[in-house]
Amino acid sequence: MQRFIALIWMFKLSTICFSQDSLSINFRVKFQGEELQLGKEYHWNGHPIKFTNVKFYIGSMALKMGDSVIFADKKAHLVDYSNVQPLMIQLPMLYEFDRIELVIGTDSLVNVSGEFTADLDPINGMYWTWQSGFINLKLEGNSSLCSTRKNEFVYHIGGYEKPFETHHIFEFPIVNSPKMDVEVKLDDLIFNMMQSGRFHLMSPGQDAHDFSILFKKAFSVTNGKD
Amino acid sequence: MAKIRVYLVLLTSLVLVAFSIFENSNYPFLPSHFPRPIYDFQKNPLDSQTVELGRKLFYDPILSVNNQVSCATCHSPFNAFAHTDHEVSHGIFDSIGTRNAPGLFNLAWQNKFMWDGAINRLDAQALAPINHPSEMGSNTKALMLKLNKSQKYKTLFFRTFGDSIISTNHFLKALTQFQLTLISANSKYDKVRLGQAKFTEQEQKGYRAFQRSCATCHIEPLFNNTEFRQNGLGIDSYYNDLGRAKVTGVSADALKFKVPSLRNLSYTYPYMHDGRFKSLTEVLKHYSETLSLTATERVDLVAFLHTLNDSAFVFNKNHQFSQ
Repeated sequence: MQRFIALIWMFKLSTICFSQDSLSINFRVKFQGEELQLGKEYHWNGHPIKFTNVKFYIGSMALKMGDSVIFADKKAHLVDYSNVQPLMIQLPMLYEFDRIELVIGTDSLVNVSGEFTADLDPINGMYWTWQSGFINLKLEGNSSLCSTRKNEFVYHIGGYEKPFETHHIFEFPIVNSPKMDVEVKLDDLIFNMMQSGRFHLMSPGQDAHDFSILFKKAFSVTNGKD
Repeated sequence: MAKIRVYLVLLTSLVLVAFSIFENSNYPFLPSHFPRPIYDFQKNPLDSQTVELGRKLFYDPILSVNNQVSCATCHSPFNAFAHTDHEVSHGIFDSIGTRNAPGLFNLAWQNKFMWDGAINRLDAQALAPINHPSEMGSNTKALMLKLNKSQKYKTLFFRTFGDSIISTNHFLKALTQFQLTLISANSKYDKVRLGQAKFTEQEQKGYRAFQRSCATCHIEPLFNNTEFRQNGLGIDSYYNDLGRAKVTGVSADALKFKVPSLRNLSYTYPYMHDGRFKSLTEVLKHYSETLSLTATERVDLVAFLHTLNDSAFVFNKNHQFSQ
């Protein structure tokens, strides 16, 4: 089972003594109620469906107290479901916070002036070379429902210029638990995809923008599980 | 109160002078009569070793999948780094493209690249031809693997960046640094502008015609702007190239292309995004109705445009292939 663990370490300093708290955030992509497995054959409406590639960017993270940003990590992280290594994000914290804000995708600043290093390296296959910009989400697979060559579906969702931007903010309160799960449930997204009859989407525009909104809606937060 | 104002003005002036001195001392190679560059040199400060590495890469066909096409294949130094003798450029296995490769110079003053502005920064531009199936036919990952297997490049990159692994970021920065040194600012026009030469009477007339008819888009001293314009060219039914609209998805941007510089025109024929005009005469004939130029004015204008040719730039050995 492939899991992605994002660890946020908070260091809370008091005037008298030093104490250390930690919060573990686990990104779980799910389909039909279970953690997604690439290459596994599922069935949807009687038709087989397989996922072969799922990657997306978390463009930045911020820790907030109410509406105030207490700490911001502007480093982009690539959640790559084919990567067996856990994703670790460590953020030293000196203050308390009650909310976490994630940017799903990369914003215009990253697209125009971000360095091509680490998770933003084009070698990761998440950068459009023919028209500058990062691919915020790659979702690929095949299903007999797809009337395409090899029954494939290929969604490369990107674009940073308004009104077709594809990055969105996802904000959630922290709970009184050392672990939290950010779940990305693909079911509604797949339903909409099959209904639309469009199985290739690989350039910025209105359709990509609409798709990205559906992708954001797939995010939710629960108490963490082991 | 008056004394305070005087001191404030003096202080502000000192700060501004100090700032400009700082800028000039850091970038003495920037022409003094050019505006402030758009490229942020602080993110990629030039140094001779990185520039030299970039030059080697620019001329090396290792960048292409079949090791036969380099950047210089389409961007020849003797043509102000443009592609001549072809309406549109060609790449690996003689694949024909859809556009004419533009000249490469004064890139630090541009914020969008390619005829449709599809590339939003110079550091990213090289990825486009490298990954294009009709240009270099490779892909970023494969190229990085290839370079990392080359002992020559591993040594050069280590000497330059102190890293035993060649990264995409360093590769792109090296190429960028070389391209940033391609500055064309030594034409007759520039000398006139700096008080070092004078136009002939005909060139002066041509300059006036230029200012009246062309300067709205081709702004001095770069002779371009950072915009996209529709200049009356009909669509070519073979290429069906909608230009900027292909990037923005906005119908109003249909048939808009990047305003090119008018520098070095004698070296960069043919003209327009698809190379449809082989000579300046054809170009001016295209504009003759919209710009109301008489035949004499067209001749004068061409004389002025020739003053924008920079032979020192074109034949600069520092820009050419080196062993």
